[in-house]
This record gives sequence, structure tokens and C-alpha cells, in this order.
Amino acid sequence: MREIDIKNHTLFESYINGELNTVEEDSFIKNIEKDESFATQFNQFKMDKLAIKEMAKEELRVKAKQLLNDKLNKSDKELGSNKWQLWISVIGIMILIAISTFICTSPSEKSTPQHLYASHFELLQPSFPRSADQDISFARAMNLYAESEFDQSLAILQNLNSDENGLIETNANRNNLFIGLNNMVLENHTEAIKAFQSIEKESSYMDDAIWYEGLATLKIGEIDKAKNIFQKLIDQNHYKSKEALEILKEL
Amino acid sequence: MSKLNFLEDEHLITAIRNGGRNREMATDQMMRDHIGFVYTIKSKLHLDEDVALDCFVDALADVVEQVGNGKFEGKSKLSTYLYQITYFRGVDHLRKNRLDITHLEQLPEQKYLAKDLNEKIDNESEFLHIKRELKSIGEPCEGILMDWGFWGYNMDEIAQRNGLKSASIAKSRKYQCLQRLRGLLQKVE
Repeated sequence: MREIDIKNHTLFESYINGELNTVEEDSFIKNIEKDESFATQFNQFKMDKLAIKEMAKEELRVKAKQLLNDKLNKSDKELGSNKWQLWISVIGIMILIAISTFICTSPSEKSTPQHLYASHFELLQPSFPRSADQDISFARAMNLYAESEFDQSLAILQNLNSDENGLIETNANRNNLFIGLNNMVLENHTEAIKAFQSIEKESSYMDDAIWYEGLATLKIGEIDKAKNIFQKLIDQNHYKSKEALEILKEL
Repeated sequence: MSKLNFLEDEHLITAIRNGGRNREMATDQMMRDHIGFVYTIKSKLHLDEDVALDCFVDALADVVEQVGNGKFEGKSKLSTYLYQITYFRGVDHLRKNRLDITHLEQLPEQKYLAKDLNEKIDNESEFLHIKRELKSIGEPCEGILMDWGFWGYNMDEIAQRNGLKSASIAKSRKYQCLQRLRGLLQKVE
């Protein structure tokens, strides 16, 4: 069996990611045309990437299906069978929107921290481990989180973190993120902030943690601290930069 | 194009290009914001909901990949581009099932999209073999390869996410996983 040529593999990655300059790219293309072995390896690389993309699509498919089901259930509950109730609700909402628009366009008014928190807080989707066998307790905590049993989810996560046997660092960061989220829903914002702050800066969970830490800090009324956090998000071009900017404009 | 929408696209594009968790979150946001496309093409093209969903998911993956590797030129809004690809995949489904599509609107950039799809179709049997074998690889290879190959996590992040001690171990494991895939493929051939 042919071993993977790591040097070529790295070159293939660079080419696909558009990281080669014009000269390097020309040389790459000439190699493809002249060297059959090189061309075969590149083709295998592309097929691997395509197949991996198909695996990612499976995960996306499951999420999209769940999203459609959630929307359908939400629609069924909201609409109900009484059409008059629907019309009254629509008219009521339009009146509320008109009043809110009038209030919000008043130049002397600014949104309160509580209002800003409420309008920007959206619970993160649960994170299920890739293999449930490896992390049964965490999977159970996520199921409870998804079912809005936040106190039970929190209890499991706190137990996981206090168990010192074989706890991998990355799991502690993941657990702390969801400990923080559960605490936010349960209105324990100070505890939530502690959990977010104990996540390591290099962790991939840090991006979410810093956003929610900002919101929790806003909720408990520490406006200056919250402003600093949101400004940091904007400076880092965080995925929530737009929302952070909206909040800062209102504060 | 409103300023608000431009900012939104700019942040999404940056997040996707950054890779890793940012890319995942941006993908989730695009999915949430545009899941309605499923119903749009379902009614426009008279597709089953599952087929429409597949078209949307395939298109979303295409857009994420193209933004990630810099192929998306930004000539249109992301939402418009996503819709175009979703719609085109729906048309392609109808074409493959020999249904009449002459009445359907033609879309710009179709030539570019068709090239990518045709490339896949030409190697479809080999491609399906690889897909089956990749599924049987199991963890942690499945996780490592997806984190590297689609989500664009760097090796440090891949190490953290998959319980490995260092980036160099993660890199080594990645190649082992790819080597394992090659071994499985040889058996299939």
C-alpha cells in the first residue's frame, strides 16, 4: 500500500486553500500535467475531501431536520385551530411593534441592560459528543439541557468536573461552558460568569464563553465590565461582533 | 444592499474563513436564517421535503467550502448565492430523474456550479466507495478527519477536541486515519 506523501499532502492542502502564489500555482499545475503519480495522489486527496464533506453533510442534515421539526411544532402550537385567536394575536403584535418603534426612535431613550440582555440572549444548542459511548454522562446532561431540565443538567456537569479521575482538559472547558449556560437560565449569573472565566483562553469553547460572559455581566448590571468584554469581541472580529456593536451603541 | 446586510455577510465570511468553531457557528447561523429555502424550492420545483432538505444541506456545505477556500467572490449576497445553489441542486435532481425542466428559470453562474457537480458525478462509484469506508472508520478518525477536512480546525484545536495530548500527535493521527482509509479502499478494490 502506498504511503501518504506528507510533503505532497501539505502542498495539496495549500493549493486547495488558495495559499500558493502565482508562480507556485503554475508549477503545481504543470506537475499535475506531467507527473502521473502526483496527479493520482492529488485526485485521491480531492476524493477524500469530498467524502469528508459528505460526512459533514450528514451531521448538517440531522441538524436541519431537527430545525424543521422544531419550526413545525412551534407553528402548530402557536397557530392552534382558532383563526380568530390568530388574527387577534397578529393585530396585537402589530400594535406592540408600533409602540416599540415609537419608543425606540425617541432620541433621548436608551435600552436598559435588562432589555439588551433579553433581546440578545439565545441559548446555545447542546453539544453532543461524537461517540456517546465515550461520554455517557455528558450526553445525558445535554439531553436534559435540550429538554430544558437545566437544574438536572447542571448537577451532572458539576459532578463531572469534580470527578478528578481521567478528566481530559478539553472536557473541563466544554463542561464549564454548559455549566455557565445552565446557570444563566437559572438566573445564577455570578456563578455563570465564574464558569465562563475558568475556560482556558486557547480552548475552542472560549469564543462562546466570552460572548455569554459579556451578556451575564450585562445582566448583573456591571456595565463598564460588559462594555470592555464586548469591545474585545469587536476588536477580535468575533462571530458575534455585529451583536456586540449593537449592544455598545445602546449602552 | 443595506449596510446591515453587508456587515452580516462580512462577519459570516470572516468567521467561515477563520475555520474551526467560528465556521461551525457561522454555518449554524446560516442554516437557521435560511432553512426556509427548503420550503421555497419544495413548492417551486414540486420536490419532496426530504429531497428539498438534501438540496439545501448540500448547497450550504458547498457555500461553506467555497467561502472557506476563497472561491466565493462576493459578487452577490451570501443568502442569494446559497439560494442559487439550493435551487440549482433541485433542478439537477429533476434532471437526473429525467423530469421536465425546460420551464424552469436559468440562473447565473450555472456553468461554474455544473463543473463542480459533473466532476463529482464522473467519479461517483469510486466516491461512494470512499464514503462507505469513511463511515466504517469510527472514532476518533471520523472526528479528526471531519475537523480537519471540513470544519478547518487547526491541529491544536483538533487535539483538544479529540482528547489528544498535542498538535503533533493530532497531525500524526490524521495521517494514520487517512492511511487507514487507503487500506480500507484497497480491500474494496
